[in-house]
Amino acid sequence: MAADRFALFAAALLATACNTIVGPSTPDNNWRVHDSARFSLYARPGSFAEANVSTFADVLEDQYTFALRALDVRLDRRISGFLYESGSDAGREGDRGGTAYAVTGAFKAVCTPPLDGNLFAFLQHESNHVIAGSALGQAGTHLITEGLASAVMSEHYHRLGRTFLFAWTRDHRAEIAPLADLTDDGRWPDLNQRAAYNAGASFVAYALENYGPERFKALYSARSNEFADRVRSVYGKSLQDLEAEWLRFCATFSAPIGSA
Amino acid sequence: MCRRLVIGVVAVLAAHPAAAQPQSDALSRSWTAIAGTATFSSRDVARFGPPADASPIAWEGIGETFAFRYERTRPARLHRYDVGFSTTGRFTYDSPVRSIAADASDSARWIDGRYEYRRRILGRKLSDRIDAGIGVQALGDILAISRHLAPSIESDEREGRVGVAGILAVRVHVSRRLAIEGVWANGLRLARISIRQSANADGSIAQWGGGWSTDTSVRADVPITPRASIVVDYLRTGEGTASHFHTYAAQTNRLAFGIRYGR
Repeated sequence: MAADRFALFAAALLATACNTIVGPSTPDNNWRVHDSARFSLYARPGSFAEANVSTFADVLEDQYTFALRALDVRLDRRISGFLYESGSDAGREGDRGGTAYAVTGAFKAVCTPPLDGNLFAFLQHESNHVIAGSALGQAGTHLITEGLASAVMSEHYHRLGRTFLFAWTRDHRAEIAPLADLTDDGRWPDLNQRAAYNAGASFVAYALENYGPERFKALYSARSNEFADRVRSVYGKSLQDLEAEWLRFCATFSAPIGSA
Repeated sequence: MCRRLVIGVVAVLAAHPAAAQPQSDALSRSWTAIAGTATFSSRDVARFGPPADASPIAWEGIGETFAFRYERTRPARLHRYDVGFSTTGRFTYDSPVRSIAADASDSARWIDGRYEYRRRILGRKLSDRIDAGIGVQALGDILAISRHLAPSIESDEREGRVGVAGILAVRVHVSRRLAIEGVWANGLRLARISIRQSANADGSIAQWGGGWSTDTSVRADVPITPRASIVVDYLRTGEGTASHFHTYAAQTNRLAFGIRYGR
């Protein structure tokens, strides 16, 4: 009887061995490291990423400089980028996806052909998360976290930064949720994610371009429940007025969408 | 493989010809003081698993640890109180293939306390030299982390955490001169996290979080007098904490030596 109770207790305890089950495993070491001035890019030996790693380094170095200037911050940190061969290699669904880890200065990205602006923009997005998180700390909302990563995008190698975002906003007005919803973290997961990311990035790009980085940094850490008040105190106008101003600007934006 | 090894070791120890420890109903008390080295390692996590989506880079440091323990023991049950202090520095960012030094002033310090109540189970059914126990543990700690990035970015994090855990323990009396105890504890925690970032216009952000903690410890006692013994203590804690904007997994290791005095 006591043995049965012991076995039951042991089984229950083992079933909740949290660290083993839900904790991270040790990363594998099948990587070759390629260093540039501020990046260490880890690629699988013989992979597409390794064949093009010097191009990625050029794109990311340009992006690093661009982001520091756009945000008016100073940061001297080496960023480690892990370029996976496929979604399954990275342990995720789909062959285009990534995750950034600002605290440890790293990002993971699935790096598959073709070698084009979309791939560059995706890598720039992930490295921006590390740059912003390192220099400014935690953003207060998903809108600012994700919006900033796509908004502060150098267009030296493509036109998928402000050009794409403002044109997309102009052409997809009906898909864009009100800013009051986009800034609400409780609602963010239920929104159309592509539209939420693009609209958020477009709004952030507009705010940065027209009002400068200092005001944006004052808004950066505002949580959902204080966002509207923070907009009023920082920009001197209501969230609705700022939203209308942004949408009017995009409506008259003249560049074609996705132009390269 | 690991399971077979453990079973094999236990079988060998159980077959050891040394005499069993004498039993008594008397209450015994002991005090233990230990000191040694500690390591702290953390990785930021996007999603806990399985499988977890964690940074391939670990922020890892090494330092010193001190701990005190008081135990009240009867043959059938045990009360154990632990208090420890650890401070770590010399941090590095460790990737799977290399290590880069972090800022020299990075640090992680923590004070932790544990109360454990354990009951002996199975009596002498396992062997005359093996005691098995199950129990519960209450734990609390305060963790202070300081990180720095060039040229002048500073991030300070404070966490106050409390939790409860279930315990499995095995004590093997290898001989009259040596006893080895293994304890495994797994439980849940509640955390209050406060982060101050030098560039943050709001000063600090505070939020609630939750997570788990899994302890694995091994301790060896070698008597040197009837009342005193030398103690070698290893404690490994794996933990995870999730909150709205800060989710991470950490691991601490402590290897310490000291003296246990009992009566």
